[in-house]
Amino acid sequence: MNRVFSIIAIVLVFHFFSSNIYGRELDLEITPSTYEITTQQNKEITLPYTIVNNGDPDVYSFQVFHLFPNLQQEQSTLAPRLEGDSEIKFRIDSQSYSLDKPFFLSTDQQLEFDLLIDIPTDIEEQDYYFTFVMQSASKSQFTQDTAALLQGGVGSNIYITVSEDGTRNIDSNISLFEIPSKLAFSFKGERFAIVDSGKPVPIILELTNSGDNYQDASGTITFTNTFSPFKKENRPKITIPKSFILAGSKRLLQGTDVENWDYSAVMPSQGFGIFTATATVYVNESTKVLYDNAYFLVLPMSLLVFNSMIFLIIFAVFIFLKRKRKPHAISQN
Amino acid sequence: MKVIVLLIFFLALVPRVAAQEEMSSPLYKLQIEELNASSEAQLNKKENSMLLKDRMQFKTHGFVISAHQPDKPFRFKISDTVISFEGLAKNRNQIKSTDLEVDTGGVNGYEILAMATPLQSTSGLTIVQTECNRKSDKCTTRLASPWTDDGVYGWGYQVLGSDNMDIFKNKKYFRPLDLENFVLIAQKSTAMERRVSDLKFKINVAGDITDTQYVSNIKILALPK
Repeated sequence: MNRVFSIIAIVLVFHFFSSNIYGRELDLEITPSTYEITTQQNKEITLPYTIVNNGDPDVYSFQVFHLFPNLQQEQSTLAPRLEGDSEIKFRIDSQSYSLDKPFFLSTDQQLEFDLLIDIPTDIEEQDYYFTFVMQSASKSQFTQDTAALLQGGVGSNIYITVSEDGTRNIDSNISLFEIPSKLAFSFKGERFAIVDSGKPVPIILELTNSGDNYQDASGTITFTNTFSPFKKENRPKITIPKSFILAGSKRLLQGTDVENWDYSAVMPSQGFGIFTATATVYVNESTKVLYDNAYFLVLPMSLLVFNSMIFLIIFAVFIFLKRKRKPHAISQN
Repeated sequence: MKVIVLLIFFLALVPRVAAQEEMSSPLYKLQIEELNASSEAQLNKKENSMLLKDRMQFKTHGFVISAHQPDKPFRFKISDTVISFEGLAKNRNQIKSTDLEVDTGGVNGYEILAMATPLQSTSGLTIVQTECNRKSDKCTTRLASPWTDDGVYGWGYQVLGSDNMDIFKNKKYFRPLDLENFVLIAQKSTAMERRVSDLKFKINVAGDITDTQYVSNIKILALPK
């Protein structure tokens, strides 16, 4: 009898504290972060995934969203996936897990599974973008206070090109490459920005994908001072790592270690001179190479303004003293 | 005579064989545009940008799969997923925060998207979303503005840190969450390791609000870019 009471007591205690199973810290990792697929129609594709829960134990679920590039805001848009006969279908190759069904994952638990993709027979030959997400469940029973309850999730992008012969339409252009400056002038059809020698020089490099398929782009931005004695290999150079540009979208290409969200790169102060910034963009690992130049003058503007102010002050003092002396001189005569 | 002709024919083929060996290098990539054979030969804009080994696999299986840096995991961490406004007092604002951390393993950039449900009670009472200082400083789900007027009630958020959006100019800037679409709250285009952003929620309730529990579920997803 005592044993029965003990079991009931344990069950009751577990019941009262069951909400504590839901963790507060979310820490998930997914591998790989991106899949690129070129496929014919009527194929089944297997994508191996590994997911690790480094955070607290929690209830999670798998979901697949449509991923749409957004031209206006340069952010991705997620939308629920359609389930029609002619749509690409996803499922998880596992007895224990399936899409949109909650499951429990403890700390340090690792999942290895295959995501299966069915490409229909009658699907149109074009690009399809998806994001495979693992996200935590709602924690609505967790707190008695007014609260914002966060359902965190980590995603992996899946870029699919449906093409019967494996060919793709790659078309892109450098839509913007300039040094942003309020002071600028045009000379022989080229824009020359004027920047202060004491300040770093920001650069904007934007690529527009006008083709029918996604593409990747990487490249460099090099700086040449017209009067510089430096050899070519010693010129300042910024490397732009590989990034993806989805069909019909544009993207700011950024160099490594750039802190500012609006700029592709920021060149440290390089002294005076007339500079040429040259952008070299390798599209689809050198399938296409794009070039563009931007020109800028680096002038000691702060120094010029400071010197002008000093000159004006000295001039004003000189005039003031001259005027003050004049009546005295007249009175002596 | 026949032997001489065969020998010349064989010797003529030798350089071609050598050229084909070079083409099978893993570094080699076909960069030609597709030529459609017809009465009027025309160049098609489509091209095959696959590596030779991928091209062979595509011919055999009908598809090619490429995993981007398969040994580098994409990691997302939220330090606290329960932002509880304990002891919420009427006519007084309260700010609570949590850290969002992304580690792309130095492979790619990232973006963090968010979408919320209304902050409401089980009976359907709702705390409105902030409009910030209204009038000239009105904020929207896309635009942040200063929210310093204690007479404006509601709830909103801000993201500060190295990868925050420029619209959150300082600690006074807030905006409401989007209730219908995922909206960008932090991003980095370039590859970086371990980036931390500070997500802050502010709530300011009126004196006549009903005393009950209000809850909003907020989805926050980190995606590679």
